[in-house]
Amino acid sequence: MAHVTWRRHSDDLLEIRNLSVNFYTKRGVVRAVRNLDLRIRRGETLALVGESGCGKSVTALSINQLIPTPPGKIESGSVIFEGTDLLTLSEKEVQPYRGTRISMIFQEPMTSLNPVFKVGNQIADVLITHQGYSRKEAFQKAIELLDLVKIPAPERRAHAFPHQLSGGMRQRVMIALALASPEPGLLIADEPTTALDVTIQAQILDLLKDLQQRVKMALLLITHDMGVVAENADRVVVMYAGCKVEEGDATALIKSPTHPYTLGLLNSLPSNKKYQSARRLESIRGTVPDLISLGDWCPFENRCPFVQPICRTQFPPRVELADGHAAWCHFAGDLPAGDDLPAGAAGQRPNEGEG
Amino acid sequence: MAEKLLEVRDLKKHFELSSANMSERSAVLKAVDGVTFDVYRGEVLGIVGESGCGKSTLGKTLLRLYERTSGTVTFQGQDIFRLPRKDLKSLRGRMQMIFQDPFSSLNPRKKVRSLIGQPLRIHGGRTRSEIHETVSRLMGEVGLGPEYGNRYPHQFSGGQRQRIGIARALALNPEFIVCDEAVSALDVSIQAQILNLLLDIQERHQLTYIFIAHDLSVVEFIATRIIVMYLGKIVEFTTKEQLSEERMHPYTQALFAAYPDPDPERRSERKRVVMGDVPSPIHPPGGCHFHPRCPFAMNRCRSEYPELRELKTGHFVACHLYQ
Repeated sequence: MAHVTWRRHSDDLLEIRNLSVNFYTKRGVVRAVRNLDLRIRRGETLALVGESGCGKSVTALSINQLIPTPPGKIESGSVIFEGTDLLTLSEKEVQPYRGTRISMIFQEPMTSLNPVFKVGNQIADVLITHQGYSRKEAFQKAIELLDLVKIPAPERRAHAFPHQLSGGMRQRVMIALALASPEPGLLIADEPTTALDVTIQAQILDLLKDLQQRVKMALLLITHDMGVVAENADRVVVMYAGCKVEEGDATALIKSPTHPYTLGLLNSLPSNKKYQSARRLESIRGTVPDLISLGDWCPFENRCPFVQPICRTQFPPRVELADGHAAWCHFAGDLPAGDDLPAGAAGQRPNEGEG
Repeated sequence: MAEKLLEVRDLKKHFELSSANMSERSAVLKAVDGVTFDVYRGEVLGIVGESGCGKSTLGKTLLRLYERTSGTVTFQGQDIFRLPRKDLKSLRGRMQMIFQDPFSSLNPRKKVRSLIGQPLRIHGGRTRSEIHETVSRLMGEVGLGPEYGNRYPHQFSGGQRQRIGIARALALNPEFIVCDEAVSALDVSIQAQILNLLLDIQERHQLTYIFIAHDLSVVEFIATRIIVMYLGKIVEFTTKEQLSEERMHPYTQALFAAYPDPDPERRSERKRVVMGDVPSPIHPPGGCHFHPRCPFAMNRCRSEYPELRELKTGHFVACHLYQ
């Protein structure tokens, strides 16, 4: 297949255009990702945030063509990485990108590590395959990488099997694997610290930040945790039911959320300052819609406290609020500010149930 | 001060781990290693700590779901470990538990009505129509419409399953509920709904909660007093207000500093990250268990475990720095 070269913005490392991914199940077609555009700049940290089922992991897996097909299918779109559309590549052609230029780490490192090989050898294998090291050199380099990710006593740990390491250590090994490349371009971290204790989470996020500066790689950080976003991301994309609902600079977006979903998400956090004396949280009523029966209107209409008739018939346009800060809402910019939700939005009463 | 509902005195729960190698001595995991506190009627006592700190074991031992190794738990004047088995049943009606994943405790082949009615049938003394009526009331109370009664657990979302779990816990009119990571598996927006529901129910029935969670923001929101645990022991224990003002134990400081803060304005504040892993509770470090990770460790910390002392009224800390 011919490699299509696209003209690109010089800062862009990766650009996703109009990506749609469906899953064909017995119950029907699940619209996991719908018409998604995404840009990741060189060296930046982009957070993809949203709740379960919003399509953030599917988006990440699409980049490296890792969607299980069937049942999944990339229906449309392109993923342009340094001028090449990865989605037009064959399995064989995409292989050199996986784990070298574009690496992934997941929530549970144990499922990505081979339980019967020493971690040093697993890292060495990557170096041998992609960089032509000899076995001996590769093992030595693996120890250096373990040292780089701040594993204590790396010479000894290189001989350990994954089960002999703690969760935090395993995640460090995964990061070392991602760095076993002469030129790591993008690291996709899918809930990398969700399974870890909070003191270990802080260590891993610290390490990622540190490494990113050292090797100048971009980080696509997928998380449900707004705290992780606020502390680590340069830019944020908020997803809901397979769609992008808001994007912008991390600080600006969290300070002045515009889409009613982003607003609701931030208001649901018990750590929100407004709850220092309050005894109830402002939750979002109802539940996420079934991704099978989604229509071409606003995906948040059934839970939105500001819903109007147009929201139930038309998909909202992109509304640019400030430089790079945009929301997909018919009324973006015209909604009341964060603290003055209408009565119906605040503190859903239990007898309303869910959805 | 309100009435004491529960008195916990030097409670220990150790697990013997059989070793794979018969010649080796089996190891002992000191999951809960000598904790003492009181629970007052109507309060929400939060317990926080990282995995392996013993918070869940403590919760289960308080309800005698585990037998104790030593120490006492006195519930309204009765030592629950001295109760004969037959009296345990009525005790269980007054003390209930809500788990992280109710799905694993719900029989997948029973409909929701039957699941919520199960505790009522087990405890007996009610006619069918009484049970039917109670189940309907409970479903309303937790926000499950009557149309959900004939569905099976797999047809529900995580949040709705937790509502079923709460209805089951409420069925026998308990006074005391241990919520063990009750909202940890839920998405943030659903978590907020369930937290509100738990607070509504607490007010309506004047319940007392022990709320166990690893998420500090959840515990800080819901609890009135907070216990911080590390490797089987209480390291700090005080009111929520006092704790947000003054965190004294270096572990408490590290734990709260590590928590990712959604306020972007505090982003520039450089975090103090504690190094090292949580040690194995099977072979905890000698002396103060936290000393290998503690930035203030002194010689004394390596040899002697600091006693939990009341440094200010109602503020207990186990640390040599203050002794």
